[in-house]
Amino acid sequence: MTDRPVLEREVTVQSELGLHARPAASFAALSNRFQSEIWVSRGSDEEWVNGKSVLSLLSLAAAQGTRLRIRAEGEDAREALEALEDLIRESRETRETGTDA
Amino acid sequence: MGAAYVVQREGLIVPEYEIRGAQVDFEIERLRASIEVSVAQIERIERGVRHVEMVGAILQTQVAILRDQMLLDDVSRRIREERKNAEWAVRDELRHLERLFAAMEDPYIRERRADLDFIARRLLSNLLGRAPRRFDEIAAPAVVVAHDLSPAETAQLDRDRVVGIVTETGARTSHAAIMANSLGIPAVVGVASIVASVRDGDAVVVEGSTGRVHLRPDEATRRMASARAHRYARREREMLRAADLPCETRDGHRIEILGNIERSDEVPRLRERGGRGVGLFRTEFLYLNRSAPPDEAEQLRHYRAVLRAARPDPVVIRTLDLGGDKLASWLHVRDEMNPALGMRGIRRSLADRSLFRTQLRALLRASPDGRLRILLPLVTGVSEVREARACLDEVRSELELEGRPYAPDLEIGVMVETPAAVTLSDILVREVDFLSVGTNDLIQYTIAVDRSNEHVAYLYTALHPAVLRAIWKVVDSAHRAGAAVCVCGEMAGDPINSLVLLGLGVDELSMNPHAIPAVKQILRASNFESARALAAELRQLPTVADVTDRVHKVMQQRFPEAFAARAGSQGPGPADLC
Repeated sequence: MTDRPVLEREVTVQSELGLHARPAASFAALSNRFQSEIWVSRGSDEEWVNGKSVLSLLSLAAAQGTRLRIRAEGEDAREALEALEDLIRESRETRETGTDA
Repeated sequence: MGAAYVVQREGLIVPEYEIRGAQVDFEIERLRASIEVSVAQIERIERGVRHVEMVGAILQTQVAILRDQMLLDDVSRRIREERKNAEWAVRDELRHLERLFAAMEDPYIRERRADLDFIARRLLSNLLGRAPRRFDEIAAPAVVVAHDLSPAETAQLDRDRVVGIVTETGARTSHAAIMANSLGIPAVVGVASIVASVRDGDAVVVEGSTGRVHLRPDEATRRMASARAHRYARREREMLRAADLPCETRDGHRIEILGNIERSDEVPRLRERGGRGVGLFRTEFLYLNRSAPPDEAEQLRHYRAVLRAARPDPVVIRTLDLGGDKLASWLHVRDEMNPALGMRGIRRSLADRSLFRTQLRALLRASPDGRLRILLPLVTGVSEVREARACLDEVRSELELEGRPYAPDLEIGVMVETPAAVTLSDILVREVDFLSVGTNDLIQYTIAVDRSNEHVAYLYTALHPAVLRAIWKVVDSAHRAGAAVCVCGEMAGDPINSLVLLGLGVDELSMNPHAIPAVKQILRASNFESARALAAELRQLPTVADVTDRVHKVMQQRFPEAFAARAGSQGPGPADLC
C-alpha cells in the first residue's frame, strides 16, 4: 500500500449544458495535467469512471444540477481537486460575453 | 441561391480478418498512427477557423475524444483479445460507444453519437489509406448537399464560395448546424432524401431563417433570393471597406477603435476588422486552470508577442484581475460571502506583492518591444494607485541594477469600474495618464445588480441614467486634466450605444474585434455636434425607459438599415444570405 493522499469532494454541475462535450473535454484536459489519478462518480453511485477520459465523462450524462463526486489519488491530489472544482464552478456559462471588462 | 454540390456518402467497407499473435503489436501501431494522423488533420483545420466562435471548441472536443487514452486502450484490447485487425476493432468499439450513448435519456448526449460516427469514419479512412474528403473544387456560388457533414468538413467550407448547406441528418443542436451558423453560412438540416432528389449543378435556394429549401426555384423565388443576397453582400462590403478608413465623424471628430483580446494571435484579425491597437489585453487566462502561477519568463513571452504583433499601435495590458467569479486553484482564497465585493482586482495584487511584482517585471521587460500601457483593475482610490506605482518604481530600480532595458515613458491608467472611482475621477486622473471605463462592472456596481441573478437581471442595462451620468463625469474629469478616456465594456461593442458614447465625449472605444465594423460604420456616418446634443438631452431624462426609447428612436431614424434589421426576428445574420 502506498500512503499517497486520497481526497474526495462533491460538486454540483453548474453549466446549463451539463458536463457535456466541451466541458467534459476541458475537465479531462485539466485532469491530465495532474499526476494524480482522477475518478468521478454520479451522486452516491459506486461506479467510478476515469476523469482523464472524455468518453468516460460523457458516459456519466451529467446534466445541470447533477451531484458528482470527484476523487483524486496522488501527490498533487489537493491541487487537482481544487482546480477541477473551480472548473465545474466557473463553467456556469453559456451566455456569450464578448468582453468582460 | 447556388448550384448544388452533391456530396455522396462515402461507402466505407470495413475489412475483417483474423491476425496472428505476432501481429497484435503491428495492428496497435497502425491504430496509434491513424489516431495521430486524424488528430493532425483536425488540428490543421482547427487552426484556420479558431477565431470563429464555437467552431474551434467543437473541433477541439473531437481532438480530445481522439486523444482519449481510454479509446486507444479499449480498441487495443479488442485487437489483442479478439485477434482482429484494427479497422474491425475501431468499428466495433465505436459501435459499442454509440449504443451506450443511444441508451441515455439526455437528448444532448444522444445527439453526440453523430460525433462518434464522424470520429470512427475519420479513423477508418486513415486506416484504409483513403484521402479525406476535400472541398477545394467547389465553384462559387454553391449549395453543399450531403447526407451529413462532420464538424471538420463543415469547417473546411469556404464561406466565399458556399452560400448554403443542406443535410439529411442532424438536428438544430447538431454540431454541423451550430458551426454553419457561426461561420455565417445558412444551413437547413434534417431534410430527408435530399441527396437523391438533387443533381450536381441544380439551382437551390436555402432559407436559413425559415428552414426552407427551394429546389430548382421559379423565377420569382430566384429574384427574391438574389435581392436578399445582394443586400446582405453590400452591407458586408461597406462595413469591411470602412474598416480601413479612419474612424472620423462627418464633422471631422476623431474617435479611436481598439480591440479587446487575450491572445497575440488575435491581432491580425483585429487589424482586418479595423482595430487600431489593443484597448484591453486581459491576463487572467495565463493564471487560470493550472497548479501554479506563471513565472516571469512565461509572461514575458506572451506580453512580448502581443506588443510585437500590434506594433506600432498601442497595447493596454490589464494587470491580473482574479477574484470575484474568476478564481485560480493555486490562489487559496477563503470562501467569500460576497466575492464581487471581495478580494479581487488591484486589491489582490497589492495583497500578494510577489505575484504582482512578477507580473510588473515581465511587463516592464516587454515594454521596449512595442507601445505598452499598463491598466490597473478595480481601483477605488488614490492610495491604491500610489502603492501600485511604488511597486513599479521598485521593479524599475531592480531592472536597472540588473542592466535590463525597459521603456522609460510607460503610460499607466486606471480602470474606472466602481462608483468610488467615478466620484474620485478628477483626483485619480492626476495620478495617471489615462482612464478606462469598464462598463460591465461599472453597471453592476452602480445599479447594484448581479446580472447573472435572473431575478434582478432585468435591471442591468447600459442605458441607465446613472450609468450615463457616471461616464459623463469620468470624461469631464479626464478632459479637464488633458487625459483620454477609453470605454472597454460590452457597452462599447453594441452599435446601439455608439452615438451615445460619441456624444458623451469618449475618446476611444475598445471592443470584441467582431463588433468593430458595425460600430465604425455608425460612427463614420454620425455628426459629433448632434451626438453631443443627444447626450446632453439624455443626461436629463429621468428613467431607463425614457433613455432607451429615445436612443432607439434616434438610431432607427438615422440608421434605418442597421436598426430596422434589429427590430426583425433574425437580424442581419446569415439567415439573410441566400
